[in-house]
Amino acid sequence: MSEHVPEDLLVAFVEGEMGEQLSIHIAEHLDSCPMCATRAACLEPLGPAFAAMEDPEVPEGLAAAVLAAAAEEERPPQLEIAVGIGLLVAAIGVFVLLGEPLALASHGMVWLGALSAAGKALLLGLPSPIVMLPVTVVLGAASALLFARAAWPDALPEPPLRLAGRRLP
Amino acid sequence: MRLHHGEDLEPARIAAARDGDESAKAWLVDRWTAPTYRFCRRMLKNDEDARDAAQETLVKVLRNLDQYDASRKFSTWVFGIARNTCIDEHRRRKRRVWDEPRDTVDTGPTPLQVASTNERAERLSSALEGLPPMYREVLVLYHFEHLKYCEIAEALDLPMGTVMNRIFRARRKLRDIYEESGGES
Repeated sequence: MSEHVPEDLLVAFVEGEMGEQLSIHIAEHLDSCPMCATRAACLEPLGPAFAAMEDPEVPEGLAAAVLAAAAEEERPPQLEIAVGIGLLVAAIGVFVLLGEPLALASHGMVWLGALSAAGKALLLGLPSPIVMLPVTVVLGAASALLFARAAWPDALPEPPLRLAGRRLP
Repeated sequence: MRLHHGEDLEPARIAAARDGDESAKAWLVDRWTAPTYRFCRRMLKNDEDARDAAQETLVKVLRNLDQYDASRKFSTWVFGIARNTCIDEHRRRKRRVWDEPRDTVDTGPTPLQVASTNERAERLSSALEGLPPMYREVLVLYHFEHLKYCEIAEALDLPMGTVMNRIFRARRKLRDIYEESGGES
């Protein structure tokens, strides 16, 4: 839209009484045409009231407080580190109790969670251990089940595996 | 966007602040404290919350300067962070009374004409506070911070059509609330 916006269109624009596409075109024109932007502002019924509103007073010392806060070292997120340490303890516990390579491998996510906690502590921007917590819990449970089945095959019922409608021997 | 003394120096100051120049950081904070506080105050309706949100916003700005994409306007980046911070602040303080009456300044006796203007402004201010945040933020950015429509879309990370719809609805709702309170638009 290279020419100025006709008055009737401008009125419809200010009143919000036109289609989305046309209003986008007019808005883009107003962004680049100070004259039409001023004309539109004059048509805005509440324009004078907006202009009369005073700006909120900025509190004294805010800028200094910002600079002081920014200069402080960023504190590591305590909760995330606690969760990470919890995952680390869980991983060591699983290793000590089960000692099974399969279990240990399955608990890779637990170790990863602990690693991410260390990353949080060092502010390295790694994914949060809290995000990984549900995944580690599921993997941990699956791993423990696999281990239990291997260690005590008679204690747990065998799942009925079927192939092409026939039970496997 | 409101013009500010030395605005053309801003890109150089941003680059210097990004490299750790403390005086450039101080310049940026000085430059952006008032606009950020104004925005937060109009979004949060409470001096204390606005102060906290403005401080948090500017600290985030300083700490994340390396993430600023220089192809965008700095103002839209700052207001985008301020907006998200206000949303977080809103969530954090949900249990507190949200719609506390706004602090008013005792301006003393004024001539009738000035009183009338002040009254309209005060009524509009109350009407603005009655708007949902999603409508208030577009009006604040447009009418007070004088961002262009495309800049509002960039700051809020919204398509232009959504911004236009929100502005139209916001103006309509604002007028309704304003007129219900006895004001004439």
